[in-house]
Amino acid sequence: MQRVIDIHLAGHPSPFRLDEDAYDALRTYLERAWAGIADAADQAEVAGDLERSIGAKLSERMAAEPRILMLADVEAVLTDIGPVAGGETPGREPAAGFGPIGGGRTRPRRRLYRIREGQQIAGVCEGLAAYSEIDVGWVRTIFVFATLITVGFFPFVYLALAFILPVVPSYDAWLAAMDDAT
Amino acid sequence: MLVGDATLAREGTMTIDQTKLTALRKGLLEFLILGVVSADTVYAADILKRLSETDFATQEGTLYPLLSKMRREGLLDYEWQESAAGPPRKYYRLTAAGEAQWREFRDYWSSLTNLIDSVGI
Repeated sequence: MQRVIDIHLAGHPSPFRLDEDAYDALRTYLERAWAGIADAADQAEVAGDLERSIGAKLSERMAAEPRILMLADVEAVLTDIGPVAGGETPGREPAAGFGPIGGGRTRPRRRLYRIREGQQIAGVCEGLAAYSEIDVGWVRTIFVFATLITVGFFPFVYLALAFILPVVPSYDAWLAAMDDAT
Repeated sequence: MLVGDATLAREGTMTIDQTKLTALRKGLLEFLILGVVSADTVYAADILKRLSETDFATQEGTLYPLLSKMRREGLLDYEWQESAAGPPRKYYRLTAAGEAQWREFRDYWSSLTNLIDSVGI
């Protein structure tokens, strides 16, 4: 049984009807976007921009007949829009996005994402590989062994991660998201 | 031409660590947006489309915060226009300060190109 939630998006006079999973995904995305933007004036502005665009893309997906929007609809739209890059944080060094080449530079704080580029199932291993800087082949090997050792429990961990983690289309997009999360 | 050459190089035998170039491109994006807006009054989708075929292809999640910041800095401004399909759109244009910064950046870029051409010789 699924609950259905009506939401209003900026710029769109009629409401959108979402199932609970779709609603949760959208709310998480918008909250993360809001939190990721440093300047208060930008927050409201960008939230409006995002809502107008999300609404337009969801309308397109419904085409002629209004229907309940599912997680897949919201995920497709949010993947198209991409993670929100927060702009400059005041006082941050411009070079902070680079790796530890210079010695004293700090690495941007990393976050775990699913990465679609090169994915086998849902991109969880690609995301873990980028996060841990371990080759993706090794990450997959570890997953397979963990599955054997835990007598089949580990795929549920994978499944849970596939649902929980936000997704980015490529490694470049992941780097961009890390850069802006600092 | 900046964009054409960058694409050509990528398709060729580029061996530079991509993370270095990602940081470089990220810094240049704002100036490329100035360039796109300087040519015409545009809305977000026009900017994305103009950049989509280049190494500077980006997404709304990146573009919106940047546009908002640039507006706050007085480089560009927008006006609302009704759209036939969907919500009204923000059409962006450069302010006088934005135009000045775009000219200044182009001059700086020319000087950089000269420097890069001559520094290794």
